[in-house]
Amino acid sequence: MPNSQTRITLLDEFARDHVPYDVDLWPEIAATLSTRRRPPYTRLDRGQLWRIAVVATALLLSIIVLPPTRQTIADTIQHFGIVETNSTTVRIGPPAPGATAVSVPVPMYSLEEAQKRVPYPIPQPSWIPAGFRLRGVFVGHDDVVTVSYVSDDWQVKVNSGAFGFSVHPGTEPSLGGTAIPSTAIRHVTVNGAPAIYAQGAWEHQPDGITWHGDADAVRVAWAADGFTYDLSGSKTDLGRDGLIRIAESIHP
Amino acid sequence: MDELAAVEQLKQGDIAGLEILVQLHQIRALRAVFLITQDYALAEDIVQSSFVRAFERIHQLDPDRPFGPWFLRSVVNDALKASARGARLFSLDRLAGTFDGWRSGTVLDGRLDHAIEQSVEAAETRAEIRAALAKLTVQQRTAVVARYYLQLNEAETAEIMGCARGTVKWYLHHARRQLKTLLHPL
Repeated sequence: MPNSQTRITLLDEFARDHVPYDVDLWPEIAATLSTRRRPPYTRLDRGQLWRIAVVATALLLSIIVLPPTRQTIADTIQHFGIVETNSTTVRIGPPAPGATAVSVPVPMYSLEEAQKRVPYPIPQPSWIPAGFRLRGVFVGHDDVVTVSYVSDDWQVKVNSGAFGFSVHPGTEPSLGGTAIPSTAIRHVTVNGAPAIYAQGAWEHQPDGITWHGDADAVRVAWAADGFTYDLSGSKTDLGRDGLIRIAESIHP
Repeated sequence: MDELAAVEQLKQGDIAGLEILVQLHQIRALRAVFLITQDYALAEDIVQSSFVRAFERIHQLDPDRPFGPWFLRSVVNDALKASARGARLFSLDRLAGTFDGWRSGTVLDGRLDHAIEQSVEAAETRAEIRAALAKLTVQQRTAVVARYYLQLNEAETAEIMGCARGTVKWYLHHARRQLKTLLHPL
């Protein structure tokens, strides 16, 4: 077992490899401050505080009382891990100084082995299309589970289909997520619950990624039973109805 | 100019004081946050935001206390919160790849990513450390970084993490056990 000094050295060396000593954050910080700079001692007077309180209260009441307002805000932030983007092309700049792409291998388990590793019953679909079988289950951080299914010819045919779903306990909105152009997003329901459906895929180009709406890739994300689900498939010919049929059959 | 003078300058509203503090503390802060988040771009965002907030709240710093520990506590706390918020999504991304990742993802279709597999197989100590850290929970990783990288004591670590000292001990105990297994060959 590494002793305390070894741990410090290992962490330090690892951090040095990824964060070079000549990084300079000051230009960015100075630029940020130039747009929002104010004296550190600025204090609001009583009148200003009252005005802010009144506006905040009105906004809060409008959210609570007016369903359309509440729904608009919910639509904006609660996309079950999917983030709408107005762009269908994303240019990718050079990597940050010192950044390196590292793939972290994630072990795959059988359903029984995976079940021992998370504190909730792993949901399973009661219906999957003919010609597909369970491949395995990945267990990630924070009890995130990804259940993977592949077509029966998976082992012999490179261009075979696959689908799977990720599930995690909790339905609260999170920051970030998978970007999907807003033009590709459709609002649907899964067992009556609001859900996001999209067809298409990002394809990598030399200078970025471009969304292809005609790609055979479908996705639906929703929340139910205290879990958030994200089901997607590619080259499955499932279409919207097939995907939602699987989604509606998934239960803990 | 030393740290005390820089803080005093900053308290007078002179931004030049902040530049000195950035030069003094940015690398250690960036490295600590990177160790916690495992994401360089996110680490930059967090540290930059923390410096901006330090500028806005510098009057809250007790004149008898040094800037460094006060700032690092804020940075580590921000990293913990950001990681806790984002961990679920990062995990999803790693597991499922991008939207078309069922075919090209590094995990779900190992056959298509021989290069990555080979690089993983050939990975040396750094990659193993990264993988080992990635397997810890955000809380365990934060406790490890606070105790062993920033060399804070348990009470300080508990204060940063907003939990009891016993909880920090528990995080460290499990993290050490995990790292013992993962880094055993080292």
